[in-house]
Amino acid sequence: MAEYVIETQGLTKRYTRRNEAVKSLDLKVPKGSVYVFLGRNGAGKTTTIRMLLGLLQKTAGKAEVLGLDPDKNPVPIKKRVGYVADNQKMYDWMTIQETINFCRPFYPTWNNSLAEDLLKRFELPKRAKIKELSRGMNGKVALLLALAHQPELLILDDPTSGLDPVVRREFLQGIIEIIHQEAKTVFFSTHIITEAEQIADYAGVLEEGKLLLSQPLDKLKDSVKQIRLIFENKVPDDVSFPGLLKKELVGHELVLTVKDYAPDALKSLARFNPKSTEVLDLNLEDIFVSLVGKEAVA
Amino acid sequence: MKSLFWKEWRENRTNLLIGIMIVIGFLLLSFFVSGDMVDIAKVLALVAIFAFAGVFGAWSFTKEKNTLEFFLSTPVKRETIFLNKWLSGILNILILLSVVLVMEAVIFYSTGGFNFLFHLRQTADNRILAWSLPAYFLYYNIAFLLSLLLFEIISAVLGGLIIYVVVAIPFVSFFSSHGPRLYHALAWIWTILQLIISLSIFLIAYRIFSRKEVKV
Repeated sequence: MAEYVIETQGLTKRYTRRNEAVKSLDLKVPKGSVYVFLGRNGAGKTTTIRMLLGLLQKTAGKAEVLGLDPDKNPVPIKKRVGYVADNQKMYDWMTIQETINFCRPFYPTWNNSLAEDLLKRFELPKRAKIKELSRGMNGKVALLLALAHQPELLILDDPTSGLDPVVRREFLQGIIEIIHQEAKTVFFSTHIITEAEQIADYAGVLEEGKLLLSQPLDKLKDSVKQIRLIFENKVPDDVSFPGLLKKELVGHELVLTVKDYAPDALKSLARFNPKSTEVLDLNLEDIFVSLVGKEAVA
Repeated sequence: MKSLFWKEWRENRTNLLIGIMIVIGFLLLSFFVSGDMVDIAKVLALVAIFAFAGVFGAWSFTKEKNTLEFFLSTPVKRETIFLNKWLSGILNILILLSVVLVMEAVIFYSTGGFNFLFHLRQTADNRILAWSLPAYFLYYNIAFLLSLLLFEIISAVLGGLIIYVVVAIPFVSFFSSHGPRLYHALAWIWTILQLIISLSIFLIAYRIFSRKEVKV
């Protein structure tokens, strides 16, 4: 059985000569993982996901989802993948039950009792029309449709964007419960980092179509650190460190954000004579901002 | 697929009902008027079907403007989605035509007609087959293609009409200059020509849809 459910090599999408949305993406999503795909708006996350589902044709490179090429086998992939799009628009004239009835015949693995269970769990009124639903409820219907056919892989494209914090938490709770119960592989794109941190065990950061990093979340947190140096006098201008991502100066305090941190490298800072040196852990949001923020060292 | 056909039916039924009511309205009018007005009312019924053929074609993809991603993310072959949409529109046109034929039969009998099959054959030869049906198919196909390209109903209806007129002008002007003696020959040439153009447009639309990308 394949080790990775999603594997891309040099995946590229060029809309026009000047507009390259995804640039030579090498992505590997391990089976059974919850992979969070981070990036700012317009980073290329949605384009990547649409290529993985065969909704967009790749310009170059290779892509495999569940061992199949999305350009050649989009239908078999869609049968085995549950997909929730960013602000998914369904047929607003249909009721929830009609939407379920419409989708059910497309999936040989559709589980009616699971669909009923999800309807109850998400407190969705069957007879309500899609156009009458709030954005949160709409997202829950989309999640129900993505889950009721028991997919091997769940792809969620920024499913909580535009939701208020309360609904977002409810929605995430639903996802977390399902992940724990079903032990599925989840590929989860978002630009809201705090929610990603709650559920992910792998992270990839995309910026301007390029994958800046992709690794287990624990390893990422171990490797990206902040080093706080406090100086008695003026802060030297030439302070540097291997894998420097960001450098912030506040008074006599210099904060370095570094990747591939290794304790041994701290010795190299001794020559600048700091009064004190402190190594700080970062949360995912800080890491993300360090990687893609404006102050990031090129 | 039943589920797809049900969706198309639900989305088209209002347009179809309006079309049926308008067509019946014109045919009923022909029952109550006399002289030239009888033929004018019948022709208006056929023109109404022509207009609705454009609406059915234009509506096909316009209604999917916001839902195309959701639709295409379902595991249904694109050719199935495409054919289902196309056939649904064609069926609606045929339903409207059937209404005309049934209503004409009713009117024919109620006004003392006795050989309906002969009357039907005349109607079918001259109006429905030679003139109306290929015109409906052509206009429908043009509007169908434009809706796929533009996702905008007014543009697809009007654009389709303009293109249809541009295509039809050479034939109409040729017919006008040669008079009714070439009527039958020209009618059949025009019929076949319209069907060929319709088929070509259908194939172009199919090719476009099979490669259609859901852009970000």
